[in-house]
Amino acid sequence: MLLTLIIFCPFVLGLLALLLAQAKQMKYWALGILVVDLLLALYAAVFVFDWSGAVQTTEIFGLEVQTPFQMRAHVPWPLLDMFEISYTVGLDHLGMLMVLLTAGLGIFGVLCSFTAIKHREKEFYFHLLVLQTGMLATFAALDFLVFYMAWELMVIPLYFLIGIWGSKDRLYATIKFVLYTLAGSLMMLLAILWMYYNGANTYSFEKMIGLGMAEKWHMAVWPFLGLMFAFLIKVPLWPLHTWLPDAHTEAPTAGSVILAGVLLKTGIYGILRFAIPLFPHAAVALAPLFTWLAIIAIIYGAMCAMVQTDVKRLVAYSSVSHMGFIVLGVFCFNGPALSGAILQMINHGISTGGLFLAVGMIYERRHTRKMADFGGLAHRLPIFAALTMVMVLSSVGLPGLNGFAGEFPILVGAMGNVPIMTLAENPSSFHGFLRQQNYTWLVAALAAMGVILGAVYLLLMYQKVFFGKLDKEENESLSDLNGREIFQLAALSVAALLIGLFPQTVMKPINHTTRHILGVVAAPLSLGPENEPLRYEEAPHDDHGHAAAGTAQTPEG
Amino acid sequence: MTGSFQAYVPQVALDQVLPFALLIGAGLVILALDALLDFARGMTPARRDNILCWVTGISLLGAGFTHYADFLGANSRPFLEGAFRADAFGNLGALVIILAALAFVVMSPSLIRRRRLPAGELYALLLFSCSGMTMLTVANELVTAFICIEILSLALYVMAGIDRRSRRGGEAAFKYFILGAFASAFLVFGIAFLYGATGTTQLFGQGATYDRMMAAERLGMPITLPLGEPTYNMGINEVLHAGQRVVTVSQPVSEIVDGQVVVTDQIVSTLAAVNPMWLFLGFALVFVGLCFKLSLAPFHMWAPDVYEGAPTLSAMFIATASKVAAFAFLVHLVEAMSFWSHFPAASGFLIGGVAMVSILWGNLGAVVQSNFKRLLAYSSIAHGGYLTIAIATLVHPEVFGDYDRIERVRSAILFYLFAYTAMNILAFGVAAYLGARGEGDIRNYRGLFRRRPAVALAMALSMLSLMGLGIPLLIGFWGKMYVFKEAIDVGLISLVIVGAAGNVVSAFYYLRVVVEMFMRDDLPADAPPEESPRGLAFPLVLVASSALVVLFGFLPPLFLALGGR
Repeated sequence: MLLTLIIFCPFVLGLLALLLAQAKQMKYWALGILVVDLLLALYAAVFVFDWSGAVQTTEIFGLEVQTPFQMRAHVPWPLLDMFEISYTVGLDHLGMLMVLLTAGLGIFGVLCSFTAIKHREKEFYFHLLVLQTGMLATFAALDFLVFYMAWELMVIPLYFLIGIWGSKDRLYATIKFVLYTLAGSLMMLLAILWMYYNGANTYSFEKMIGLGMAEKWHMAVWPFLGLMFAFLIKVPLWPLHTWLPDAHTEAPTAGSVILAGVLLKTGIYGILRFAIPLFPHAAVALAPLFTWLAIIAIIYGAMCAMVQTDVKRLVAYSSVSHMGFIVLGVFCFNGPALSGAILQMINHGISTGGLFLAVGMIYERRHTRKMADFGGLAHRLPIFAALTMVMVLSSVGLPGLNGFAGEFPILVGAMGNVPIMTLAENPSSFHGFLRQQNYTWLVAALAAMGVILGAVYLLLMYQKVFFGKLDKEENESLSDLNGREIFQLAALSVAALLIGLFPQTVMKPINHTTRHILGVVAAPLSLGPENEPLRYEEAPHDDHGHAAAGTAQTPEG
Repeated sequence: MTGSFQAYVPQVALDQVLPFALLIGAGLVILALDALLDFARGMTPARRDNILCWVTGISLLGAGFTHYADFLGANSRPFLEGAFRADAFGNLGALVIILAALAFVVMSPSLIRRRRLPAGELYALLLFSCSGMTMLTVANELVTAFICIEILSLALYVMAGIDRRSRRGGEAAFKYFILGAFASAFLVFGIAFLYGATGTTQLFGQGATYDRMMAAERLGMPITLPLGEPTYNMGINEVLHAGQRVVTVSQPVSEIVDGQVVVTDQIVSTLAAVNPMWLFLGFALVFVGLCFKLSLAPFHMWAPDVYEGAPTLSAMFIATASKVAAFAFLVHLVEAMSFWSHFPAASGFLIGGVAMVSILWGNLGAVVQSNFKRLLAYSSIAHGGYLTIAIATLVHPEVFGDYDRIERVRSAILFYLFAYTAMNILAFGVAAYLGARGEGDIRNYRGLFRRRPAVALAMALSMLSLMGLGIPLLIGFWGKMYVFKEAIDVGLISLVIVGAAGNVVSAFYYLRVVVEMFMRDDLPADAPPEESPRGLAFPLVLVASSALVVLFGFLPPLFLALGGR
């Protein structure tokens, strides 16, 4: 019930606000609603959610299943229950983290639009609130049709957000975005129908797992590709990424922030939640494909970013590069990489969201995003320059900030030279093969190229915009950030710093998910039980009574 | 057997023919009233049109009730010497047709006033075409079906061109007529082949009714053919089930009665194999003829011109009701032929090919349209393609004999037809409401949301719902979902993938309308003025069809639940 409340609170209250609020007041309503939503989510995270991750037993359509999901709601859809369609939502660790990220970033989406949005304000904030509900529902849905509905519910508000409040080429961008997403989601729908008719006879994800469908479908590659098509378009992975630069560039700041911060994560989330657990064999078999695509995305995205003249487009291409890292981490199928990828999902939301906020702030002042129009801004806007620096460095992956905490484990995992963490020694797995041939360094080296290129384009951008002489006349009169803007960037900076300094607090719940996914792919990878994720948290005392030392440890068992 | 003739008295049960009789009778009454009311004292043309409108509406409601009552007691038994056979599917289809006609009647007065159309003729034609359509949904005999198709088509030709001041209307009517006549030729030709192959024109016979065959099939029992019975008691389905048709010849026999030689006729029946080539030709020709009526590619050429030229409400009626009727007949025909062992292989390609071509042609054609009604025409071609996927599912060998599954496919088709009708009523309704501005260039919709938010929302609802897969919780989603589900279930993956690809393309042009309404404000200088009629009629229809689109989107099975299933 609480979860349902969290999901639908933005939509229902937004509808109320649409009826009651005046156009000028709507932003405060939206802010209030999202703060309430965040408080609800925090309350759930602190008091309701069981972080120890106990598995409960529940009954779904007549089947007893073990479910790691908590705060569940399960209501069979009226009149459709014979098809085993139900409104089912629930959260595990990954879902809870994503809900917190969504609820948190939503507030920034409203805050950054306070002065930027000048026409049709009521609709704007209403669309933001609907988008929020769509994203929360996506992260909570456990029934495939509900997931599909939530997935589509994210598209419609963003379609309007880009199409109405975007910049010059907004119509082109918004249609392109919808067409890409729709092509993906239709393939997903076909995959869902395939699953329904190939043994599952249910739309409930938990029941599918409970029925042991993953084993039964070990030969199925096409439905897996159908799901992946949808998710990878959302991620977006090269070569499906071309909608992203357009959508990001044309979207209003709030749209870009939410798009980069949360929407792209729904793709990774879908892979982790649905695609891999249901088709682990196909995932392992196709891991090389996705690994190489991810490598291409990392380098291609970075190289595209280097030649951009538009700051926003640059940040958009950097997103392509960074999301490539996450996909790489997922398909390495080892502990550090997977944990790092999940952490990076949150990190990317913070750092890229922050960069888009910064771009929005400067665009609001100067109405241009061309790097050539700036230069020396650090003289006029010192606070802005300092806070943006934190975001840039977090995105680059400076140790001590969050980007490093996520990217480093990914590289470590890709390298495969984790002394304690055994990788797949099985030559049929990609990594096992590479490792046997001593080639894992190649993957890691290519990915590390992305980090270097990332430093190049982001720092060059920073240099061009903020350093040098303040030689443009129009920039003389720019005012520094106001309190509201400082709060946005400072809050994200603090978050970046906290995660960078204490990654173990976030890693702990992430490792639950990592362990779960690795358990799922253990059979296809023929891994031993000793394969456990890298753990940042202090290792507990094991049965023999000695404390494990260091950062990377084998857990007990 | 003697040569004496028995007086032939067809058994007519009033309750069975009441729905059709009501519509035809009301049409005749309208014609009479139209002529006579002018003589009444104090009668103005406006009042006369008003009275005619009410009479039409009430008779449609009456026909709807009788169809609903028929549906509740539907027993799938042929009546009127096997000319008709009312099953639940046909009756619900008739209800959908009547729904479209009612929407037409409610919205018509302002159109009649604006375009100065002859009300009496329009309503009488509406009722006649409606009677043809509702009869077609329950037709059980090929010649009867042909006559029904002619009744509905002739009325629709005139309805397309009823605005005599509009040059486009004349063109539309003429084009529709020429191609319709062409289609009729195909139909007759096909019917002749089917008769030649099977020796009967009935779909389901009276000798062993469909129910009995279903029961026997379930029990795995053979069905005995009543050899001695005259062939008109047998239907195509029984002939095909036996694989042999009854050839009846009468030959003179001389007998000695009372010492005198009397020559009498003796009827001798023999069995002959069904010629599969003739059968296929017959089906293919009838199918092609129906494709014209259904505007399925590559037989769709008339649709965009007719939709554009005809008055918007006529176009709405042509787009929705005539398709429901023709699809209902197609379903019955396909089911009757399902016992033919070569049917799936021979016809699967034909039907699947038409589905594929329609989806691609319709969706790609719509992308380049600038006129709103032409866009809807191409969209309806594409939707016909999706429905044809369901027909292809129905003839698939995996479905054969699985009556639960057949029932599911039939429900899917019916629901899709209902969804399609509701969405199109909404789309055409908004276009008609906006008058010349809504019926022309899509660019004229610019800024509609700012000026008339409610109307723009209704149109957006219809566009998003027509898009189908994409926006769940709208009726169009479930329509396609049901069809795709059944198609995937039997393994028609290629058709479904083409359908899904077409659906992505369709998002482009449906969303373009939304873009124009919500995201652009630069109305072209040559946009005609807005001329929305006052009164509650249009809001009533738009709200009601919006409610259908949303309500059945949320609870799709409600449609069949209302039907008592």
